Amino acid sequence: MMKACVQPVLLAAMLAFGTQRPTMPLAWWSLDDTRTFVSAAGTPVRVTVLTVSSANARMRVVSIPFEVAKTPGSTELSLRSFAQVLSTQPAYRSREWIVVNGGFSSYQLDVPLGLLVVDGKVYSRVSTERPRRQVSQQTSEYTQYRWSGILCQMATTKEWQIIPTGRYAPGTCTSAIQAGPVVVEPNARVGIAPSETRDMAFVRTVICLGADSSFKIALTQQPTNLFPLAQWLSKPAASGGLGCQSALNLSGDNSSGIVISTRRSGARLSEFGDGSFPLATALVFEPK
Amino acid sequence: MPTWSQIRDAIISFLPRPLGDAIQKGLLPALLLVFTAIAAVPLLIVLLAALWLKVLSSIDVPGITALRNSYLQVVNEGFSIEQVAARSNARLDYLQLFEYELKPKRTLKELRLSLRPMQKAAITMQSISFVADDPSCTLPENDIDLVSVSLGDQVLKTFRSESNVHVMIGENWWREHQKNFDDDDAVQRLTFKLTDQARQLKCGQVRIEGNVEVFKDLFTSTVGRNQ
Repeated sequence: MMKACVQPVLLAAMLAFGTQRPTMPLAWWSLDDTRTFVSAAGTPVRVTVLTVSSANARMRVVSIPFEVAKTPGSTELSLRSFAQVLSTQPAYRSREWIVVNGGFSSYQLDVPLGLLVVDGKVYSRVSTERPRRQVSQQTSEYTQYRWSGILCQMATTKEWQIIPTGRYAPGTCTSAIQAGPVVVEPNARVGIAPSETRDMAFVRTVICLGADSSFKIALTQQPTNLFPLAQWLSKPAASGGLGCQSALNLSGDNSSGIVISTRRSGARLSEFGDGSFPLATALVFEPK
Repeated sequence: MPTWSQIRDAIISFLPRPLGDAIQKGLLPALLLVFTAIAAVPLLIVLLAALWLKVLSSIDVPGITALRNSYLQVVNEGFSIEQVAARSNARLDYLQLFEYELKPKRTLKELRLSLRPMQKAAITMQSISFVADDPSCTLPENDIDLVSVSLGDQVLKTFRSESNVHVMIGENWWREHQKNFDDDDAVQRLTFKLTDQARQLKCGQVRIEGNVEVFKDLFTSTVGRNQ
């Protein structure tokens, strides 16, 4: 059933972006680029939504320089060029995978800003930089720090959660990436203040954890403020939203993107979003 | 020959009407008094103060120098001259940016500068980051002292992983540490050094980024007089 509904959507997405289409979508992911919400200016914003089943797939956080066997400070790989490099590596060449832009960069484009834990190894420590100003309408443990949330694979349960930065303690996560702000706080509470709409709009990538244990990546096709995006993400699917239980803003603008490689598409990659700006981290999805 | 009253009437005819009316009513002495109090006296006092300060600056007698300095300090504080000057870059002598990477095998970096004893300076550490430098590296998550910064041989401050930290080398700092510096020689080294704790780490790199501002301000030395 999933295949049946996904294939036309995927086909439309590929044609719309003029990219090469994997010959057949697989059951562990689906892509929908027909979703829209209304921006602060009242214009529709189109969103590409990648849904990955956590039952059939796993998510990994990767350091881009380490994944391509380089040292931090020596690479300037965008999401697209990173995916190209991966597609030539033996470990990735014959596999299906999807790669999505990760968190923010620090003093070098390939050095992560804030916490990065990969397979239990701490590559970068948690950032406790205070927010420049309040972005949330209520004060909560999600508003204490500028990079307010950590996408964390809990060491105890192996489940992925978005936890507030202030709650992080060493050893909490086997894999983790810090970013922010947390646009949807647990139990679908909007984590952004309406006044945020006075700020500049950007193209956004947001990772959303749904009630059905799926991962959803929402990639906006037009610049948007976080507040209307957060409202749409937190709205139940039955009401036209994405039904996120929690959601974290990742790096955006021209670093935003999704690249899909399927076995049946050979070495060809399907690319969504700009994904042209160098990155420090990425999220990799693979079938179990 | 015109009389004084005729001259006066002629002058009044050139004045604005309200002022002319006031003088006609005999208020000239009062007007002159107000003008003197509001305009002439303040200007004259400042002029005389500046003149005397200039004269006193050339007299090398400790008591007079101290008196002059105290007076200047009151004026500086009263008019917030320092705060106003600090808001601009007018007092900045030079600015040096730095970006260094320190590793357990490369534990020290030196920045060459020229800072006279008692000269005002400020160091801003924009970021001190600690990141892994190879995939097998895992960083300790407890907060340890990473880098110490020294001016000459005098340690200024030790930093952990933090951002936007300012160290002011001001009058109080110099008064406390002046004895450790040679009065005649400029300080030429700002040293960034991994702490003993950080040197024991097996991997990772500490990245420091910031700037040194050296100001034109020279505080008055007290060491010579005390010795």
